[in-house]
Amino acid sequence: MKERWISPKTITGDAATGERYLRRDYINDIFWEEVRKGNHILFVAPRRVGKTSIMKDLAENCPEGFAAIYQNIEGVKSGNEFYQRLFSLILQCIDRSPLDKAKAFIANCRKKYNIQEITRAGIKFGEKELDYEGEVRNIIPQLKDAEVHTVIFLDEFSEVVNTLNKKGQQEEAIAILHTLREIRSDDNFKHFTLVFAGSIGLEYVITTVDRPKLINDLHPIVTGPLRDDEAIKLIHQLTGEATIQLSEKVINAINFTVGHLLPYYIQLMLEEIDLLARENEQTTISEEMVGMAFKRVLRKNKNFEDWLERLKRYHVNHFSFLNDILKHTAHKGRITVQEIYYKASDEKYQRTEDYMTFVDQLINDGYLMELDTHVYTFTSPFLHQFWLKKYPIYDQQFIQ
Amino acid sequence: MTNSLYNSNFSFYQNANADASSIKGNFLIRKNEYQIIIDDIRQNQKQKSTQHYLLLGRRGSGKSTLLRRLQVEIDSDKKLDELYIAINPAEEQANIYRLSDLLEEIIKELECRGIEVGEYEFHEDTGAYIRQLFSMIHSALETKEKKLILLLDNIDRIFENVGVDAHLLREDLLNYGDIKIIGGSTRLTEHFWKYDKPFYEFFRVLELKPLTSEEVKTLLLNWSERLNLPQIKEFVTNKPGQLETIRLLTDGLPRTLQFFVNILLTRAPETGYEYLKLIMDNMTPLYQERLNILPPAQRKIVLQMAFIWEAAGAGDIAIGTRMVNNVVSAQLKQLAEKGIVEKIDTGGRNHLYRLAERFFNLWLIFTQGSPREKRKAKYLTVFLENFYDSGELRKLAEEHLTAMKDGDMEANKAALLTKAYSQSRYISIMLRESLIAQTLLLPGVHEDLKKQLPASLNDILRDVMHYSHRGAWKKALELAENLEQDGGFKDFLIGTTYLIKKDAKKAEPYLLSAYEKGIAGIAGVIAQLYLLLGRLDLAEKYIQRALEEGEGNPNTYFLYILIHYYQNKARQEMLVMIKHKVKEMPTSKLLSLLPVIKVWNADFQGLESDLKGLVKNRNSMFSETLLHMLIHHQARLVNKLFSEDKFGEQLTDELLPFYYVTQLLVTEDIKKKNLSMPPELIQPVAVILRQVKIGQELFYKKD
Repeated sequence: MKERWISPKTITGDAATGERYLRRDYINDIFWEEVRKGNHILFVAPRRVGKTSIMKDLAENCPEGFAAIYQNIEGVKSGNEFYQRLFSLILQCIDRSPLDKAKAFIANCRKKYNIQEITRAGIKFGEKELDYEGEVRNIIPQLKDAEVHTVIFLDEFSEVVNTLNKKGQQEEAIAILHTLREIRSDDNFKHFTLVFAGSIGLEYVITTVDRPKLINDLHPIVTGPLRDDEAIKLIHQLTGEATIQLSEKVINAINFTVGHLLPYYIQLMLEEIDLLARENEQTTISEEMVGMAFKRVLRKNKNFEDWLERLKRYHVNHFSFLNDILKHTAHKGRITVQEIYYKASDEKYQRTEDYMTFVDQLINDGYLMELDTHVYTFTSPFLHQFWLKKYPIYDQQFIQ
Repeated sequence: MTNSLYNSNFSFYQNANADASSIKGNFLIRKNEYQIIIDDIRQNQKQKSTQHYLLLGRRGSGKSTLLRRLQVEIDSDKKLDELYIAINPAEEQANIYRLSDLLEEIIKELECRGIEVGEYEFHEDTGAYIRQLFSMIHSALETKEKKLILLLDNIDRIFENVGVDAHLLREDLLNYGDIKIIGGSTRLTEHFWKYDKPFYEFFRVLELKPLTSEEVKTLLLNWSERLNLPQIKEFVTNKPGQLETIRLLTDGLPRTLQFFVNILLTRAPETGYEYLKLIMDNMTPLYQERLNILPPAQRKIVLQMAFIWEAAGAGDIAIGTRMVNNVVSAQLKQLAEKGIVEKIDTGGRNHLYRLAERFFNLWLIFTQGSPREKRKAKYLTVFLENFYDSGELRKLAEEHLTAMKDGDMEANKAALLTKAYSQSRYISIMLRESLIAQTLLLPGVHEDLKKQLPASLNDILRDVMHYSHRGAWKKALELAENLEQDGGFKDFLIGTTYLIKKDAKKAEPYLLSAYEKGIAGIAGVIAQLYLLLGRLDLAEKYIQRALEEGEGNPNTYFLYILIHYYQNKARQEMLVMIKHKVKEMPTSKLLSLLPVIKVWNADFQGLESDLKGLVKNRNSMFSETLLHMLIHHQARLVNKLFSEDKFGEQLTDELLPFYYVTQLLVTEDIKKKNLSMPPELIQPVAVILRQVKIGQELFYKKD
């Protein structure tokens, strides 16, 4: 009888937890250090970098004296709902602490707010309708009585602001931002930390409501790709019990192929390699199979189209300049700042004054990365190949 | 033993409504995908993070069956049943317009399975109502310590309906991790890949690709064994070619495949037309449904594409449908997402499109086409060519000719088949001519059909060639241009006229088009064309085809050997071939090439007498032979011929430039020879010398 085939422990889509997650201790250390300093945090990274996984891990493994809770709040549609969620989260968070003071604090709250039950699904209050915003303001200064530093991770907070904004409730969005800013800056609220993250980028959303000052106190933590050694560790972790056998050479080939070592892309590759291996009933993976898997991932994933669409959508007026930089990079493998300047000086662009702003945008949005000083390349071979496929012919006169 | 599987109640390809044990027993394909998902469910029970899946495949590719198979496994495996509840609201799906509808269905199903969820109240505020329903589901699951596996066929439609509530769904899935979604979809809609959509890259996509040859074989052999139908096994073993054709025509779709196998096993092959009609009739319910579910605009486009048959650009389709270009492009994009249309990336801006499943295309022409479209009969040719190999097809065409002669066939049907056969590249011109002539003799052939029969090729060809060879290009082209018949003959005539005019560039598109349209016996002409254009790779491709398609005449072999020679490849094979062919068919062309191939192979035996033979027989291509002798460093041997007592003088007179070239090559005193050369020969001698030099670079270049 054939042995049972065991796939790598990948997870794509949902956040990675437990043995599917590779912790980077330095991120956790920096995070708690900033929290101890009294900073409120903003996680900065495009989608699929793994912010949620990091936040979930931080919330699950907080140091002594802290209680943390993670929640995705993207479905929140009104100010009142937001405060209700925040209020519930604070109580749920303290309820997790085993400390006596925290338990006493919760017991007190149960009485005060007529709480029927506190579960994972939320808190059931009695008949009484509360003024949640007021209660949030009330409860936070009292947190010092619980002797627990409460850390609330609000994932996709930017989506809440975005939803309100789109619904024409811009004022309500600004009011929330004001309230949160007030809470953060109040000396009485020291036992409380807010952690924000969002896939659309909070700064971008805040710019749309024209209130950048309301978040400029947040301490940004930038989460980037894995280092080579981390990627190797992750691959070992995910494939340790799997049927497929990856030699060191093959693992290096995977890393080389993925380029920008985001766990998501590494896992897409592992999934495709596993599928290929199953189809061919071949457990030892060759470098050739890595190449084939790369092509299949590229073909299968329509999201690469969206990288181009997004560029058109968000940079309507500068699309051709940005795309020109990317086309050059695709065809030459890299682009130097001299070459970018040469393009910027073109009559049709005239961007010699602010060309670096565009380079920064391409870096921030996850298209390019700095390979060497003033030399840029695509963050991932996936994107590189996609751009080449999209623009097989490149205007030669720009290639110096 | 019954020979009619149609009368039996068994369906080869199981459907989602079958009972659990037959679902399990008949599950033969999509095993990898099944295994990946079920292993994940088994292995990751305690995991907080949940992998969601999207099965992507066309209608009939096995998505629903795979979902059903998963459900059966979860329900019947004691361990899994303790940990999970699998819900598949397939039948109720039509009622699901909003996220709350889906959640209500889940609650109903949970209650049906004895899991108490409790009463819920409708709430005006959709968000609050959804949260209430979610909360009840989570509590019920928590109480029972179970996770929910939601099997959602047509998940793309659900996402379309869920709309703005998608954020609520994602939020809940991410916060609780006790609901796993496994969805099926015919297309990857923007919900799954657009950056600003909540479910951007949320699912692991498993593509249900067309079945491979091996999978088709496994499936059929299993049917054979399980149903005790040895004829299936016989078919698989004896007709691998036909099986592969079916796989290609059906694009490896299991559901369509089943119909084909039924037909093949239950009916003795009849005439191509009857055979096709029979299959069409049986395919109708399946294909009709596929057509009906399309919105009117897409249906129109699909029909137009079917009638065009070949891959076409959005512009051509727009003209045919009288729709606006960008509307057609948008609809084509959707049709491609549904897997109905296949996009052929041209590398440029304008892509080509065709219907993915060729048999669906045949069916559309056959059932939806106007009499005119049906009479085009190209589809019938394609069907015949795909179903029979060239030998079988020629035999069928000959049988058809006999049947017509014996008066065994209804006139219009006979005419349609004649057209189909005569458009096939496997039918010789002679057979085609006989078929056409015999058809025209039949009484009662529809006038329209008569007009569409290819004209007597020989008559037209004769006239056009007559003018071409006299240099009356305009007249010859006019005659060809005025032909009303399609089917490639017109292109063939125009192309040939240009080729005789030595305008290979202009000839190329016409001859290629003629070939594509099925004109037989012209692959060799195209090879010659490419030889003229210096495209040796293409010349080789077409000369190879000419041989495959039965153009085994001396000229084809001459070109075949010459093309290889110019590419400096397959040296020894060419030597063997030419020696053999010269004995078999000693034409002047082949004889003139023999010494060249010999010297190329350094086979000097009898070389001198071969050359003398050519001189003696006044071979018209002798100067070509001489040139190649010089290329291969045989100037001394050539000089010997010029010095020959019997014919040396005459040869020198006739080929004076070659004589001087030879002298220049053999003498050490070049200056002297140059001085003695008559001035009018300086130019031609230089040309030949240049050709020698180029030839030597080709054959003797240093690596």
